[in-house]
Amino acid sequence: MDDTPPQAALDHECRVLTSYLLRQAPSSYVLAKYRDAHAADALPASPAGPFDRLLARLAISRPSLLKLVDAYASVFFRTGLLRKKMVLLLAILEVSPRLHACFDSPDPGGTVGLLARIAVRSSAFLLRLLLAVVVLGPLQLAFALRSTLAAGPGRRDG
Amino acid sequence: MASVLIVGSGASAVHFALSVLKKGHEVTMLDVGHPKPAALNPDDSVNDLKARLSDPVRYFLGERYEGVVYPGSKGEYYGIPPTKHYVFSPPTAFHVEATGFEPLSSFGQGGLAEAWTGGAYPFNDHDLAAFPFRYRDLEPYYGEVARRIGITGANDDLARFLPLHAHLLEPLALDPHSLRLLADYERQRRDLNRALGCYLGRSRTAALTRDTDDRKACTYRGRCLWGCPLDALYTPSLTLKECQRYPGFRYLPNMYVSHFTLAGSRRVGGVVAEDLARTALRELHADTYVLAAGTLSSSQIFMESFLKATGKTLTLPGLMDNRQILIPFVNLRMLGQTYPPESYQYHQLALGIEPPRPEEYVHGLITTLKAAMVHPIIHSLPLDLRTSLFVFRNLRAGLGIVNVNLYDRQRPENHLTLRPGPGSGRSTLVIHYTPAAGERIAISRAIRTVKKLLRRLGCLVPPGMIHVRPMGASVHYAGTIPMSTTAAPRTVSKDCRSHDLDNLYIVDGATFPFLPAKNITFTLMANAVRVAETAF
Repeated sequence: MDDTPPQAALDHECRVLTSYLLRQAPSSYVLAKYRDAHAADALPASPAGPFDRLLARLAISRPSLLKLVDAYASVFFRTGLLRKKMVLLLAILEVSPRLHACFDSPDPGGTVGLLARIAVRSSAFLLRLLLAVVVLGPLQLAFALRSTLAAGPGRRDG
Repeated sequence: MASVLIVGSGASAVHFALSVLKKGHEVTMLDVGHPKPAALNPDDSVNDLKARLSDPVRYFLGERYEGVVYPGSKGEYYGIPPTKHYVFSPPTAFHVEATGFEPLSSFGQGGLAEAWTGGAYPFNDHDLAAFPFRYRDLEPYYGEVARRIGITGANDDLARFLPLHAHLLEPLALDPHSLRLLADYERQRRDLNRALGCYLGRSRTAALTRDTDDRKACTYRGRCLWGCPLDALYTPSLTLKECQRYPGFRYLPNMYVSHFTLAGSRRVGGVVAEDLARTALRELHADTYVLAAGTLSSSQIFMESFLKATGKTLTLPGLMDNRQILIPFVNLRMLGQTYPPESYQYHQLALGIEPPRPEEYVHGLITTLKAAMVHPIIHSLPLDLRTSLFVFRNLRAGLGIVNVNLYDRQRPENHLTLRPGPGSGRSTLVIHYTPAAGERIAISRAIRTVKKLLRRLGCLVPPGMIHVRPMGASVHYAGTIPMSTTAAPRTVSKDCRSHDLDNLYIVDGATFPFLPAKNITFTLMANAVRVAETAF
């Protein structure tokens, strides 16, 4: 069975993630490389669990939730599917014409202003993480419970 | 004049070859020898490549995106760029099993130093205490190698650990972050020397700061990591090219050496190699044989030779490697500044920590972040990726990493052996390594000192980001067939002649009886020249 998402879905995914990361649209080159990377099986082959897959689906299909899911994944799914896809995209973006500049230059403003902005953005991350734990934490527990029940009482791992 | 057959084309091999060629000997060099790909657009800077190449992703990440470093990739902050993969690509018959050790071997033209970072740090008398010679015996050969390859450096505070030899070139231009660190050190020098035993100075780097007949000086295009397109950063394949100008030199690539055949009990009769182009075995003959394939491969060939001749499996004790600790830091004084992509990319500063006992010297390389791939750093920050990117972009000019090296000494439990292959096939190299009992204390002490130093220089070490690299990662392997003043089996003489086989010399790291905390490549080259000059 071919698990590779169809081209249109990958293009949508690439647009959503690029816009989230850089607040810019991907170039046609970036879209093509993102598709090509999936065709080349560039993502490391580790089985994504059902909740991991759900997080990725949720983030792509509802961009408004992407910030929340990213915050959650940064602590609880650091090696999960969504982060892998985003890291692959970051790697493509950082060497792509024009867009590589988004990694290079600091924001304008003096040292104090920048420190303040870093503090504000980091605090905002913590708040999102807190919210994500409230919203997604129980969902993850439910998934874990369901898979335990599905495994049955007599089964043991290993 | 003697015919000399050399196995390998790495740093030791090519400098040994050049010296004996100059003396008029005939040299044949056997090598697997994957060739280096041609440099693209040599005059372009790293950002020019991103803008101008038709497919920059393919260049920087590789055809199969193997240059992407995903979360969970063993805590490394950088990967080997695809342009250097030829260095490490092994032949299919190469098999290795390791416990406690993550070995890297090279089968590329020029060997492992094709992917080095150019650190050229001479050993002093403390480092050489276990060797059968002193610094003054090696000094002329350090000078000769420096003349051949070009080494930059300065007479600064590090000279107390790094002897000053002849032919040092003026140092490379510092990037603004390195300049800042050095200035902050100089302001507090006496205090840092006294309180922490820390000394900072310019790196000794195998790069050119002025043109030579064959090579151009560094033009600061920021491409060091992907392979210097102008050959300003030295790699051994350059000396291989120089050897190829001698009529007495024969370079045979695609030859994967298996073992020596023995003529009687104390002489090598020939060398058996698999011709990878024809998938056939060939035996070649010479008067004198030289193993210079790197510690692991040379040891494997040595053991395979005895296995084939006697049926006995040898064990070679004493394997050493430098433990490396990566300590990332943020210099808040550089916050909001723009980073300089067009600069020398590797370490421009080095640090030495005065030890309680001289042989326990700790050496560090300070690399400020310039044009390396940055996605591994971004995803290693403890934030969501968008916030990580924002924070990274604003801190970029102030990011850096200290690569701390610890010494290693020979211990019998760290050894190499072979597991014989099926039939007459090639054996598997088996590696065992266990860290020394006190290593954890030494690591903690080094981390504590470097963190204090960095704090004094205005830098923060982000919590949870220090990475103790696995043994094997430094690729400074040594010690399995050491120099010895007594003619014990499985050792070599002061002149690196085998005590087992009279017409065999071993001129790579396998012969080092001690491994100080310094990159060994410069000493490998100097020692190989010493052997060629004194024994041939």
